[in-house]
Amino acid sequence: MTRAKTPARILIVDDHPMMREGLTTQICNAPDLAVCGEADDVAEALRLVSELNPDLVIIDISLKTGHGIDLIKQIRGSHPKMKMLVNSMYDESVYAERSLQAGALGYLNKQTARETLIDAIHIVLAGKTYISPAMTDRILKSRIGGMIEPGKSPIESLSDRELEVLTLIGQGQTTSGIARQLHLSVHTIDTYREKLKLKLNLANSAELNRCAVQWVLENG
Amino acid sequence: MAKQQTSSQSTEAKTLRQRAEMLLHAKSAVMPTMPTADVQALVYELNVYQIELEIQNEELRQSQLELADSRDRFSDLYDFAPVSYVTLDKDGRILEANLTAATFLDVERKSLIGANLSTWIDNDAQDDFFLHRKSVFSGNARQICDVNMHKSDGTPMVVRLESIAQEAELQRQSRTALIDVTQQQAAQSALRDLTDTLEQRVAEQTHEVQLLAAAVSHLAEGIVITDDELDWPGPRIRFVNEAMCRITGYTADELIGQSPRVLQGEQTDRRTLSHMKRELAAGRPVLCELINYRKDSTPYAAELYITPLFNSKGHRTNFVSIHRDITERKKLQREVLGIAENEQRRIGQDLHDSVQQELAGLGMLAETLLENLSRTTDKSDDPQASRLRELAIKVVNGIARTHQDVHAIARGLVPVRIDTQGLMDALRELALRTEELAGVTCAFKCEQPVEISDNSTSTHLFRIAQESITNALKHGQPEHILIALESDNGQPILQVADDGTGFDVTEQTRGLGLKTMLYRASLIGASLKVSPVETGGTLVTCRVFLGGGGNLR
Repeated sequence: MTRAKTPARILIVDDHPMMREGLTTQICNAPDLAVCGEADDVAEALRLVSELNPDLVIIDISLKTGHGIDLIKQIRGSHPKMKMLVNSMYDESVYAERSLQAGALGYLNKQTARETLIDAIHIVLAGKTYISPAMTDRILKSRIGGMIEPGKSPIESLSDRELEVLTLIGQGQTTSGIARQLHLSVHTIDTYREKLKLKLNLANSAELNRCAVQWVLENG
Repeated sequence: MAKQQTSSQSTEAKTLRQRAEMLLHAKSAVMPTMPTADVQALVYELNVYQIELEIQNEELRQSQLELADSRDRFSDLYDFAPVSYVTLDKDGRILEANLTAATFLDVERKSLIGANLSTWIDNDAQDDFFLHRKSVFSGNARQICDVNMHKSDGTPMVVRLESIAQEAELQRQSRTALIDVTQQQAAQSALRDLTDTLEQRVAEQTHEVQLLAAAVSHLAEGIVITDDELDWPGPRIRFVNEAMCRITGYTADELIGQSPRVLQGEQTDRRTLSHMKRELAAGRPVLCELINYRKDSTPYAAELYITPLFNSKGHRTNFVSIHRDITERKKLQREVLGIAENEQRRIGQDLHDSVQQELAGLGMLAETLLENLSRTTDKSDDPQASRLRELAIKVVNGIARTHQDVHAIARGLVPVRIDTQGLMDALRELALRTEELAGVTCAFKCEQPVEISDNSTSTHLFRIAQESITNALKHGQPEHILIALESDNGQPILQVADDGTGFDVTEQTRGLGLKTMLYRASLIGASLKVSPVETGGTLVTCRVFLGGGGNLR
């Protein structure tokens, strides 16, 4: 962060004037950052990305016309290396994962932006992923029960009951069969199945069944 | 008369004797010439003849006596018969009369003979009597005629004359029976009056019924009358009015003889039906709302008021149901409620889209201001500068607090993001939040995406899920809660299951939470079922009917 270094150039895409002003003021207050342009809809944003080739684009999810997620995908299509940070009023739980999947490097909640904006910009500019500590915690917790340790298999994070259910699935038992055997309701078994899918990062029931069979073959 | 006959009989007997003696003398002339044996034989012969004759004579006398006796008997029968008999000549004079007739006319028999029967006949009936006599004497047929008569003491009576002509030595006679028909006539006339009254009443009632029928046919409400069979195959429709045909699209002929079941279908709530049956079986009238189906299988909301009908003996004979199509009313109700809901959503959306953005922007400006102030005041000891800094901190914190409050309000107003996938996200978020806040394992199950275009439906489903979880946490102390969203042929089904102790479904029905859930379900045309889970806990199932029930929503 020496003075000699050229400040990073940032393009702001947000349809709300006060928001743009707040962002601009705060960014420009940082010596190593500068706002190079502002846009309030998808078309203008795409034009400015091509024209200005900024170091970073800050994108709001809801725009005057079009959707922020679509804009991320389009920019990624035309500028695969463009760094993008989503700044939205929506809860992280809804859009954070989707934004990252679409190609953004970070997700910032507008509610907390005034404290975390500059940090988030620096992290993304460095090519790393930014999501709020609370969201990081939640994603980890939902995936691996919050007990992951480096180098451990996600299966080790399962509770005893979850492991029992996974084993029974792997043995080819149906949900109602497992429910009978464990004296639980099918709904409770379904709850475990959903938890297993989240913790083991499986997209659907078929993947869960495959994974369970694999586990039984290797460990049964 | 009998004595005369007896004397003539003895005369005969005398002549017989003389003849016999003469014969004997004639014989005795030859007797001396006859041998004694022959005479003896002759005497014997004669004696036998004599006895035979005596026996004959005695038999004759006996039959004479019997004849007289039977004559007396007939005479008694004639006199004391319960019917008055008279014999009349052509002019109506009484030639013979029995005792009953005398008693009947209240007169002595001797003054009756020779008198004219017309004496006891009312003036206005004289013509009838004359014509009656005329027709009797001109033929041989029995004639009947009712005339007004009076007894000698003036007591009026109606008498039926039954006459038949008979040939006698000198002239034709009329054998006439007099029968008092006063009471019979009175009874008949009373009967006639009664018949008249009845006919009049029938006419009046027919008119009334016609008026009623006309009124019933012009009613806006459908009327259905069924018989009283509650058990399978259920009551048969006996009558429907025009409005019922208008509402359902069926003709009267198509409905009559059918069970009201033809109007029910998939969305018709079974619980309401069994409640209805229970009440009716107990003889109580019921008021309820049902989804029914028209002939073209479009559903409509119906309000039914059904009353059992009883006959005079207290037996239930029929059910009458007043059938109101409340689809429009429901729609209006929903629209009115929808206005408030839309307004709420609009405010929430405005808060989200503009106020929150404004506050976020302001927050950043204030933060920058504070930063710059801090940077400058760090280097000086100016108390003015540090006061400015404190003020800026207050502004920054105030904006942050306000932003948080507004965010909470907006979230309460718009729980489900407005797009087709909003409900799935909102339910996933609800599961996460429940797990974080209540410390239970809560998962959201959704194998295939369920997209709902109507945000009002999504919002109500979300609130139902929220309410179910609140109920489960409050009453059941569950360890696991499952929120499941699936689609059955495009019809969304929301299920919330927990493994708590469960709660008394019937008691809870009265609780506000479940009532609100039921109400929300009814607003979006969904069915809601709360049932216990076998292994413990409660399952709430909300089934939405899109498309088919479109006009109900």
